[in-house]
Amino acid sequence: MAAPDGGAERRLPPGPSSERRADRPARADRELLRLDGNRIWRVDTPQGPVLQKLYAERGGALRSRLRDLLSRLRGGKTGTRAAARRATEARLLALWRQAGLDVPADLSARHPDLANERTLVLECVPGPLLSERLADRSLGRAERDALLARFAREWSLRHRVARERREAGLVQEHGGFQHVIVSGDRLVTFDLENAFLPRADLLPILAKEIASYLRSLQRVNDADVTRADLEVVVAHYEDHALLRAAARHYLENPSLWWRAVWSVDRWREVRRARRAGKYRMMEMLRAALPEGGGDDR
Amino acid sequence: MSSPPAHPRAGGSAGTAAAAARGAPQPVTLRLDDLQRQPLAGEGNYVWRIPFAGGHDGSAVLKVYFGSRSPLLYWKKTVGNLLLTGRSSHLPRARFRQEVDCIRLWESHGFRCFGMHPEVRVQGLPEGGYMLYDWCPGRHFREYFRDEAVPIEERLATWRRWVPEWHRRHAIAVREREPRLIHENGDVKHVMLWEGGFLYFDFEICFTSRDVRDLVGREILAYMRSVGKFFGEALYERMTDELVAHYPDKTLLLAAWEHAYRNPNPVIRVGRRLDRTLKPRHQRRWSKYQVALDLKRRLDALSLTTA
Repeated sequence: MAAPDGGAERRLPPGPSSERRADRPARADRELLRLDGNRIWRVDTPQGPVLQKLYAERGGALRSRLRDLLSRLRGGKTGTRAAARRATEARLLALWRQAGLDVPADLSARHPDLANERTLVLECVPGPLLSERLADRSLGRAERDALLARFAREWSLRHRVARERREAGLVQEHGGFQHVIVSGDRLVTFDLENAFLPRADLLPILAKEIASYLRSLQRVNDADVTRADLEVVVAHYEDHALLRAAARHYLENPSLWWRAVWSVDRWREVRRARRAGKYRMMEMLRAALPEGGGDDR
Repeated sequence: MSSPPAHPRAGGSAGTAAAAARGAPQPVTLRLDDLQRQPLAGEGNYVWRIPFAGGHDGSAVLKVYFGSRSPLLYWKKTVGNLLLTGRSSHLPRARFRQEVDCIRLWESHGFRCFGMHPEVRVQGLPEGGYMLYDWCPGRHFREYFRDEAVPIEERLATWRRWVPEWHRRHAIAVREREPRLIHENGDVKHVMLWEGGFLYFDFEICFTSRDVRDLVGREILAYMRSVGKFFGEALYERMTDELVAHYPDKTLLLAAWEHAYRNPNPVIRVGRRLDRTLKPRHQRRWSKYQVALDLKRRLDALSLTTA
């Protein structure tokens, strides 16, 4: 636990040499005066540890409202206000579990003293994040491949169920290997507080999710390892046509609106010299896919 | 003093229930002039230790809600309580009723309070203005936690044992929207260690607001301020660490910070801002605002999203 500062005496004296250091406590003090973003606490109960997740607003009143509006209008996503995120997460946890997908259990009903209109009580899933496991240099290639293969199979299963049911809620809005926990035999996906709104064509949002996951894959290791990882994922992902369609949708989208939006995104990606960019990964994905075979479009 | 018959009671919260199970005790009448009175407190109330056969150490506590303050002051405080601060009346009979009701309420939820002897009448005192309580010579938190003869780990273990009980009361209060379960005068002076458990007292005044979550936050700040004030910085730090680690509902603990800095009512929020900016005492180490920041800092550090 961070050592607490001591009250009024904690401010550093002003002076040129301490100017930079003095800025830090001032910023920390400002952070203490507001509650920005969620808090998740592990709570030990007689039935075992659980997570208490408090949904809090992000940014000030104006910013959080603007983000909410833009998210709904531009992004076709659920609300970003705290209450909306809590409701979305509760709904999606139930939906995913009903579809046989592994997510933390919602234990709010079992712990009424910890749950309220601002919180959910979630299963505490022990284990490292998949991104942490993949970033571990000591992880052998065979073990790494087995982990990625397991992930790819479960990932493609979820995409298949989402398409069969035409259920946008089964597509992860904030997908990434940092949102999957490796807990023994389980691969548990979490962070479902934002979701896409229902729509007839799931391909655009599936393409986004695939690009988002692949970008997070690139973040954890260097280019050679990423290429090998991508090949394993592609080899065990059952629906290559969907991957091909997703890459095509991402890279050759005919919609003027999306081309404009993604051009800006791509420009920012290049400008910031991002190694882990969605476009680069989608190009790598297209290259990794076997020749032949059509796509879904 | 007329010689009252012995009618021993079980201690603490079990007292009233046990007495009821045995049947109502026989009425006893005492004469005030005959009582050997040892003053325990005075001003707002008269509180005397008196001899009482069957009581612990042969004693009981007679609390008279009519104190030495002028009636004008009682009325002034009552107007302030009812109109400004959201508390119950300060008038003697109202405080008597409030305390008796609160003790029954707390006991009904399993929290131990002083056992009451409503069957005892005292001639010379106004009806509905006094009550005889069990004499419980326990150790106040205030004395116990700063007693260096008790090993620090033992004291912290006691604190860890108390924190879940504290939370349980808060959780019930929030669930039932019951402001009387919030200790209006709550601090380490009003909790006692007694017969292996915890004993609470001083319930004459209660909050009346139904925003119980905010009241919980206020009470947490009041307790922790008194921890800092009476036990010093080092023990305060450790007890606050233990509190944040072992208080189950972290969002209720965060209510303490929200009470000071983030009241949902903008008028109150502005009022609190003025309060902490204008009043010099709120710049001191043990002001509720500083304690609220201490709790927030620890809760942020404990959160998996911000750690």
